[in-house]
Amino acid sequence: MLAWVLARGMFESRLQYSASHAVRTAASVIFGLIYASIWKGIGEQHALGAYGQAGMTAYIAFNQVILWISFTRRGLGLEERVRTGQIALDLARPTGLFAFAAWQEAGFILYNALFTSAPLYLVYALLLGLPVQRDPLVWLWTVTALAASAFASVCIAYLIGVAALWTVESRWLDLFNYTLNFLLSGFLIPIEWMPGPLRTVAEWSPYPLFQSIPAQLYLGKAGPERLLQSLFWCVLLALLAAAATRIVKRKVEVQGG
Amino acid sequence: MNGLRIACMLYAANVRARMQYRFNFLLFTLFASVVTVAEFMTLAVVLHLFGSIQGWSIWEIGYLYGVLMTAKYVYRAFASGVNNFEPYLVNGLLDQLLLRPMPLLMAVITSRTRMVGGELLQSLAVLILCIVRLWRDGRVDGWIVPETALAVLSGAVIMFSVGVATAAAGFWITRVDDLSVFTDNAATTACQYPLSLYPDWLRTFLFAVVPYGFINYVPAMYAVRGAWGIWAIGVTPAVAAAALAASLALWRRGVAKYQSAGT
Repeated sequence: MLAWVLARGMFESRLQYSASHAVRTAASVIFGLIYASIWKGIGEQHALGAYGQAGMTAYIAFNQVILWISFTRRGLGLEERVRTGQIALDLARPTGLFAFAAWQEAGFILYNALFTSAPLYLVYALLLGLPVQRDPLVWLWTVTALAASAFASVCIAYLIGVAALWTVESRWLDLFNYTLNFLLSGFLIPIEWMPGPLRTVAEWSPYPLFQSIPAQLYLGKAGPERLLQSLFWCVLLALLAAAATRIVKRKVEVQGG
Repeated sequence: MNGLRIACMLYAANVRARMQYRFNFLLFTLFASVVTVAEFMTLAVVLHLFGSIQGWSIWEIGYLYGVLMTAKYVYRAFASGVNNFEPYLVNGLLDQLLLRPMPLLMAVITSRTRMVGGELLQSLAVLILCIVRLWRDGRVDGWIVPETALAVLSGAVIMFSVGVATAAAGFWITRVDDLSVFTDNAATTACQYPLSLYPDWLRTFLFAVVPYGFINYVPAMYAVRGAWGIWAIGVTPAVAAAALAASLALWRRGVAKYQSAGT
């Protein structure tokens, strides 16, 4: 019940800025069209492997659609709570800090899924020929991968957020995470095309969870066994988040004055 | 002149304030540099895979990237507040700045500083590397240096102008972060690649609405590709001047309309 209240509160607060979010969705549509144009231009002169030009356009378009499922607020907003001292009250609540922050974020992600990802999916299906899958199993694997992606991104954002207890600011860490995600998740380039060392780093990192795995499942280029990788990272990141919460309870210092 | 001196003092005070949190300052500078390197790596991987895109070589596209990103970090070094204007409107910070005895835009510029040394160094390194390589291949001559410097400086003015216009829109719509994604991030991403890749409507957008296409693509069509006339060098400063005049006019109208939204 509390989880529902937290998620709904965040969801409703996002509804207050509908004009601003309409602009963001439009910008996201443009981003996808830019990336699709780049690959179309490349595809005119070069073969695009197992994807082909249409497949690559679908891959890029679907990645742009699901980008918003793993898109969280910077450090789940914890940096600001550390700065204002609010974190001390948060830690005193009967609900754990991680659960409190994660359920709020669930409302944020649900908002993004409904008001950004869904419109993008429809626009790209119409403009870029993004295939609309009819097999329920494909949808089941894809939605499972996206749920894992959302959970893992919340865990990483939580770890970034609580880092502010040691460093005051954690936006540099957030920036770093965002960039690694952009580079290693397979967002713009399929991981199997990356040069040797970069590919190895990408495959051993959690970042394929966010783009590559859901996109490959949706486009039928991977089977459900890829979900084991998602599961492994979700468990590991959840354990790290739990450990961080225990340390944070002993570390907290109230700032301000 | 007195106002300029005060502005310089405020800017320097901001730099010192940022450096008070040494650990944060060092880490942010370091990570920001790594971020730009990683961003460039994405572009580099694409170029590594395919060698050229629509006849543009790695070095020519690297030149586009270098000019654009150097202009971006010159702009960000001096006008970070303009680029991140939403908190001024949402949190009521602008009210405090209105009390300062200087033009409001100057007060915004001097109220926030972003240290961009690492990013600037990285984009300059890419730019210089590409120019040297193009020079060795006989694609460019000594004129490339002043032509590039003019493009970078004019480009910084164009980016500043777009930033001011986006910020000014906040006087009507308050929330401008998402608009900034549209006018700044999307345009910057698009212009890292040759504009010939894009459909007509997007090219029109990048020339007529958010004129980032004039920062790197237009000068490169003369300086690097030799496909267009020398006018391509002169048009960028002219667009920069026009964009600056238009954005300042919009800013003045917006300020006249401003109503505090803060708490």
